[in-house]
Amino acid sequence: MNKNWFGGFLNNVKQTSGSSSGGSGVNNVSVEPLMDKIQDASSTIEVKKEAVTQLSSINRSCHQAVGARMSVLTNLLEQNKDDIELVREIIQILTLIMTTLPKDDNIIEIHNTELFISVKSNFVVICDLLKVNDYYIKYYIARFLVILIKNRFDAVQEAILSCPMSMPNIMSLLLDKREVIRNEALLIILELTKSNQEIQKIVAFESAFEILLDIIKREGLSEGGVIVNDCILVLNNLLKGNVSNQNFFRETGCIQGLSPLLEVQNTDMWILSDNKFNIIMSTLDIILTLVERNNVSTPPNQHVISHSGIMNLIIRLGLGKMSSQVIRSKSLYTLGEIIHLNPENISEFSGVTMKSEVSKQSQTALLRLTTVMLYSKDIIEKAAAFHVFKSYLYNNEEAQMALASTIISDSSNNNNNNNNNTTSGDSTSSSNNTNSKSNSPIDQQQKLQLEFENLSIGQHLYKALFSWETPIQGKPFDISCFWFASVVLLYMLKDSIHTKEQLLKMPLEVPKSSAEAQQPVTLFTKLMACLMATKKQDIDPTIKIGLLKLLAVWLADSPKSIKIFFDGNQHLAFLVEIILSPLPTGSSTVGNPNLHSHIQGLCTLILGICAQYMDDETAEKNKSNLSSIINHRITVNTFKEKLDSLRKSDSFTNAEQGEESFDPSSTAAKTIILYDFDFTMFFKDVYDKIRHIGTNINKPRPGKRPQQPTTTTNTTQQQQQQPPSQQQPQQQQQQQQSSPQSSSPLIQQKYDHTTTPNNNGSPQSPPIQTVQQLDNSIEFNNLKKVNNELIEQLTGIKLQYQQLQQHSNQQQQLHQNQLQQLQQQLSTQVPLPQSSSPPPQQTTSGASEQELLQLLEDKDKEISSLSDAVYKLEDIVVAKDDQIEEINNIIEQLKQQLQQSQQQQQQQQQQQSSSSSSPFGNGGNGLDSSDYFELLRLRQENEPTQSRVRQLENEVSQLNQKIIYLTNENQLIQQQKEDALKKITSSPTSNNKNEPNSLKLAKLEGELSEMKIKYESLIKEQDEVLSYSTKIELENSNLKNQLSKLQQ
Amino acid sequence: MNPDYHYLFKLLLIGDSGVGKSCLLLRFADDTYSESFISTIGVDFKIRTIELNGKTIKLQIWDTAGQERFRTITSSYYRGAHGIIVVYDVTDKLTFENVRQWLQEIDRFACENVNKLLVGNKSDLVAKKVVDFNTAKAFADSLQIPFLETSAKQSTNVEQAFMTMATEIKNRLTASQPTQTVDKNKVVPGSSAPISPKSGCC
Repeated sequence: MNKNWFGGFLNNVKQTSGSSSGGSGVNNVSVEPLMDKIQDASSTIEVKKEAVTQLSSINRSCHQAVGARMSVLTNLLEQNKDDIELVREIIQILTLIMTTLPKDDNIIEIHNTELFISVKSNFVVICDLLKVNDYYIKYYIARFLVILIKNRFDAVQEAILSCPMSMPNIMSLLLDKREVIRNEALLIILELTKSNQEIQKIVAFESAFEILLDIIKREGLSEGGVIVNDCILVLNNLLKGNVSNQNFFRETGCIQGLSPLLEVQNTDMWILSDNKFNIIMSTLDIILTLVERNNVSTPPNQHVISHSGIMNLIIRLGLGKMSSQVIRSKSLYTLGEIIHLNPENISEFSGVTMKSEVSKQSQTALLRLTTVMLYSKDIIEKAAAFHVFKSYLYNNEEAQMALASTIISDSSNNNNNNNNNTTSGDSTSSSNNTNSKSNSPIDQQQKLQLEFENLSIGQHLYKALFSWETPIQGKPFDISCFWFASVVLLYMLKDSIHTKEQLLKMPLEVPKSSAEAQQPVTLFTKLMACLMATKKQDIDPTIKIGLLKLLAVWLADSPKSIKIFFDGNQHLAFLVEIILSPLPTGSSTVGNPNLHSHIQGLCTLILGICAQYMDDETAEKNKSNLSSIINHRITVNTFKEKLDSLRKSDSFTNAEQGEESFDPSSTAAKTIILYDFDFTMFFKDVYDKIRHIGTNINKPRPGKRPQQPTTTTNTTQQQQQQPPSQQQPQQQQQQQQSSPQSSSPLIQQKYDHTTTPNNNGSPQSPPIQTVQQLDNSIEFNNLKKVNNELIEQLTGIKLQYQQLQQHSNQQQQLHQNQLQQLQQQLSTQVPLPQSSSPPPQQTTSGASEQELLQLLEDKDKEISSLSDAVYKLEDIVVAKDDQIEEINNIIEQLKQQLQQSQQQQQQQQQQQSSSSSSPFGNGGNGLDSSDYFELLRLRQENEPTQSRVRQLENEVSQLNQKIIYLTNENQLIQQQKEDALKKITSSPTSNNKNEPNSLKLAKLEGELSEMKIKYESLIKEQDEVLSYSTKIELENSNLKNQLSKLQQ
Repeated sequence: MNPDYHYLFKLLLIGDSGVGKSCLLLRFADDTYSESFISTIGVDFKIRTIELNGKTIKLQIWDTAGQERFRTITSSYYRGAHGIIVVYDVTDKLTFENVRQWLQEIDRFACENVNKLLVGNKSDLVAKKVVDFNTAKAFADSLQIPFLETSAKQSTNVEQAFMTMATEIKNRLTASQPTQTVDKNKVVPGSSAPISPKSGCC
């Protein structure tokens, strides 16, 4: 019998080995017996090991069969941890059945991974085996973990956090002296630390920073290979978005360890290996992570980065002779973040000097930055240099003024005699540079070099800003050079009134004695002259946009600038002309962006800024004209439309998303970006102030607005007295206006003698009437709307009172319920004090305290809502005052119109007498006929004016009645306000009136008194509850003492 | 690297939720106190540098979550710690009774030679105190663990607690290294102390 069984087994083995090269079905069949042997408890360990060995050579088609019975292998693994050979083979089998291939669908392998991870003990066993000091076990487990992470990243992270001591065991692989295992561990940790802050903290706690920096050092620092870059990537994973780890990294002195990675040799300037390129780029990523904006750990990180010398290394990478444009750009961007909102680093950066490439003299890093920004051929590098300038000038008025002082152009007055300029690496190199070839004669180069060396930072900016006026033949105009000069000047002026006023006065050239009488040319006058010149030439619209942005920032919050702006006669007309010009038809070119709407939007913004920020002196001369232009020529709707079209443009909406990060691969980085985040904030701030420009422009300043009706009547009387003093200038203006009118009909008579003059005169008056009627009707409608709104507010306040009343009722019920509950608790506790346990009593007292806190919060809410009601009443009073003022203004305007119409009548009568007395060359018949027609025309013209006078008089009387009505309402509302205040301060007074509104007042007073009574009752109930709670606490303490005695 | 300290010690604060571990750390590191209670989620840390017998010691103090659901996460921090401070609340007897479980966790996950310290916090609440000083002292002495009562609110014995722990760790280091260390720039106790492998992790 035994012989037969043994022979059968041998036969099976032979069949299996024989058919291995045959069909796969046979292999699947053969897997099951092997798994059965492993699972069979009666099998010897040798038989099991042999079966495992045979499973190591299965092909891909057996993965599902083995995976379905994975627990057989994992149980064997757990029971034989000390058998190194068996452990090795089982790990290899598990790795095999979970390895994915690019060409296959890998469904089975992924499923096997999920099966393994779903059993928590599996992961525990695997991580525990990492303690075994065997090369192959560590290596195989490391590779196995890589597979698990690759297939199911999130599940592995969760398994690690739920398995104690798993991460420390994995971290121990990093300490292995065998580099193969260490490198595999690096890959595992690189993947695991991409997310999940808890894992990142555990890794950091296990001295990861020290270990990684040590590996970096042993691998050759910046001369190292891919291992160094992997370590840097792990460091960035640990630090990105993890403030705790950033603090740890900084406080343990690890930032200093990054310095060697940013050091480059002279040979690296021209020939840079890929590995070194990657190492520098990854290290810059770490620096950017440490100085991320809106991060609490950024200021101390910036401090350490500066003191450890890393900032100087980055300055050298960005402004030195590094050949890689990508590294230069990214270094400059990183430098901008290092000095952002950090006055210490800004001060240190401003003091950095570098050796000039050409003249071997020292120059400031800031001057080098200017030349890179203006003359580099790569726009990404220019934008990165500008990013440094933004951080340098932001909230730094001292730097703004210092930089502005360098704009003056006279070498004798330059304080920076040592400022020597040199072009950047990509720019045209000079003849002294032996590595480059000279493309132009030496004389020309020397001239250019001398010109550059004598220019300061401000002079470079000035030259770049206005070089488009005089294009140089043979040299193409660089629009980006202009653009970055304009935006740096914009940031030089931004939020700095002192710099604006400084540049308003500072002449561009030192005035000579011979030309002393002539007014000096300043940057502002130069800027305006160039803007005037833009309409004559066919230039890039980007230039207009840059200049207009600069002008808008300059005029904002600077009344002196606005005054000088209006001193130029054509400045206002220039803006209005652009705003009113029709948009070019862009239907033919759909894809091209239409920049004209941006130009119109900016001009409209400038008009709004002038109206908002001009001072009283400038307003006296220009405000009425500006108001007329905005309200009549442009119209309020067009004004808002132009602003909205700019605000809704793609450039603007993209910019207001936030500060852009450094991304050279994006297409936006390679073009000029019209707006940045700061400008969108500036635009929206001004937009909110000038949005209702049509109504606000006639509004007096808030500081001078009267707040009481008595003073209002006084001001109206004073305004009535003012007209006689103002009549004289108005008459003069009218006389000036009437002279061309008087000459025009005579001219018309000469040229159009045959046509009838009646037709010319009649169509002029009806449009004026219709316009005025429309204006009046609009104003009346606005007044009605305002009154309706006020009524709605009053009803809203009443509703709030009702809600408060309901709320107080609910609270009263709550109090009663709470009292009942407390009484019940007391009744239940009193008869059986010894049987109750301390924890429930504690919870009871805690609950009562919480209830008391809630009651207090509710009380605070009621008080706040009452005070809100009072505030709303005050707001209504203020709104009423505003309405009254507006109506008074309207009345004054109407009166002025009446006077004007009367004066026109007088002038017309004078014209009749003058025309009758004037001689004519024609015969008597011609004279008689012309006189007759003129009389008819005058009579017809008089009729509409008289009707207009009557209408205006009626309107005035109606408005007077409205004023009386509104003043009465205002008084009533003030009384309501006083009554409300008295009610709140608990000093009620009874004022009953027989007027129709007294009913409303009586209701409100009643409601307020009821609220006060309920409030007092609630306070009493609160006191009662407090007393109850104190009693309960005492009883709890007594009970605790009794319990403690019992326990003893 | 040019560190500005002689020793770097990693300390771990463990104990039941609500005993005042975070308040102790806040008082020691920032000298502030907050009445509001916010449970620590996961793990957080603070750093403070102290002077001890002419040596500059930088303490990394890791504050852990005492709640049960974070137990597996906090267990990962035991092995790398040089010193572990077990905190209980003198007004809550249950937190003192659970000290035994916390000590078992230390034996299970931490190195054998890790330094321990027992701290009874909230000692300012005299009227509510339920854990007697002598009882806790006897318990600590039986296990050869230093013991202190502290009040993070009144800043009582907080400095002493951390200084005691630092002193204990430093003494252990000097005892395990009879010869002077050649490299005085930096000493990390965890790397110099022998780590005995443990079986039966769970």
